Amino acid sequence: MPFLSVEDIRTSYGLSQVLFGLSLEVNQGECVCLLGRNGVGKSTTMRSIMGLTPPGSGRVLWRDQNVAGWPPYRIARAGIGFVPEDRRIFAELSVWENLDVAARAAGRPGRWSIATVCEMFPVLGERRNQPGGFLSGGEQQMLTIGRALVGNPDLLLLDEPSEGLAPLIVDQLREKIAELKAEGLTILLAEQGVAFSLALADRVYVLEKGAVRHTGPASALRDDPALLDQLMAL
Amino acid sequence: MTVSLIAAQLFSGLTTAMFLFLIASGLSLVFGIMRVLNFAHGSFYMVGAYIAWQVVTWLHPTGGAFWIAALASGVGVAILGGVVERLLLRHLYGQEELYQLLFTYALVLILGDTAKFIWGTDQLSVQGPPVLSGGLHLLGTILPYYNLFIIVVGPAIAIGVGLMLSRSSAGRLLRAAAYDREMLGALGANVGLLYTGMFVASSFLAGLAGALITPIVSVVPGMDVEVIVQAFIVVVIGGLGSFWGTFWGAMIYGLTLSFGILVFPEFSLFSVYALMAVVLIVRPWGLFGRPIR
Repeated sequence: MPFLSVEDIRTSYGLSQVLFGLSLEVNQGECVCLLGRNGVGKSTTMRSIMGLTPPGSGRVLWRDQNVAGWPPYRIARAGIGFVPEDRRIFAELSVWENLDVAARAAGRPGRWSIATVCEMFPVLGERRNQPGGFLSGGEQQMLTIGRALVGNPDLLLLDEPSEGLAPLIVDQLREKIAELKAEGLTILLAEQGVAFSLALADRVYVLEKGAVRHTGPASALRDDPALLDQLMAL
Repeated sequence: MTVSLIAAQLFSGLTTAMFLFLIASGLSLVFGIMRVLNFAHGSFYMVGAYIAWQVVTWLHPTGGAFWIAALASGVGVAILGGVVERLLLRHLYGQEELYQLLFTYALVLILGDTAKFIWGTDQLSVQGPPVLSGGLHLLGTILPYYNLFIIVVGPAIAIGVGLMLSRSSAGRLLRAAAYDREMLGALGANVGLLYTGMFVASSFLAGLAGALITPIVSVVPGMDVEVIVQAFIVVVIGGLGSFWGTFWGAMIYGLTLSFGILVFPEFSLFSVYALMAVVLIVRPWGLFGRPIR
């Protein structure tokens, strides 16, 4: 059985429907990437899984339990960590407070604590008493990832982690995510940056107009630039 | 103007200020964290005053039992607030603010009429605790021990709640909820429960304030609306949603009122409204508030 299985979900914001019967699977230990241009439904897929914009129909099976319709906090406590597109750190809380709030909110013990997160991202330890809003974009992204990790998730949803960051920072971030993957963390990644995602992903889903247009191993796209061009030109 | 007169006005201003702070702090916290403007906060205060009178009358018609009554008021109004939040108000989160205003205004009317139905329209009075009868001779005037008690309790509660917000884990969760409710939920916090807790705590403060004022002011219909107007002025001066702003807003209100009487006896209330107008012109977001992003 897959770890996460999204089955034929349809999701709307008010009257405008964004997802039209989208299905995908993530197995334990995998890094799966959603590819596609702006507006194809990558973030909405993430929000639907997390329960923030619950799907109108279809199922979200997390470890064989249908979590569609659950409030987000129960989904988080069931072991899904969320790194949102716009980061959404608590800007007026210090770095340490951001992490502490997240650890207490999820209340899931495990490998990750504020201390181990600061080992992985030393800059967070150095700036622990500064308000989150004072951090640079890259530091904020690390804080967002750290904030999800202290909840000790079994699956990490990463929505556009490289967006708006300088190339050097993007490289550092990719290494950190690769480390997490090497540790066995299951990751569902949504990215517009193709190089970034293909470097990390085991499998990809290419989305178009709220549904899956193509799925396959990431290696196939890495080795076949023509196929990649064709899919990404959608 | 003599020293004793100034001292007398200072003490009365501080007492008024601390009562207003007790009331306005709950209003301000609920707005700051939940973004709900609770018009019925003054009604909760009034219900607290009536409960205090009722409990004292039941237990000790000749006086006494004041502390038990104060506690009963706080707890009783906290339960009332919890029921209102869980059953009704909860459904209005995320809706237009107008709906919340209409709803809490309806509560003002319902609670006002219910109180008249139960307790009538007579002025009711409650005797203060015997322990605090008498007063302190200070600077040529007498400061009643009960007022002194209020002047001490106000800042104590302010510091307690302030520390809770800035240092405790519950305070961190509340500040995070004020900043981004949805994100906090996605991290695993049950924000609905947090909101209920916040509303219950704010109702407790309103009920307690209602009980504590009964030895000084008689309990009458209409005290709800009178106090909510004052509390709104305090909160507007201090900055909506700012906790310490509410404290200093109450201080400024209380002292302006008591010294305003000395300077313009006919226009004592006018001085407070004038102050609010000046604040709104110079800093529309209040002295300690922040402009809305």
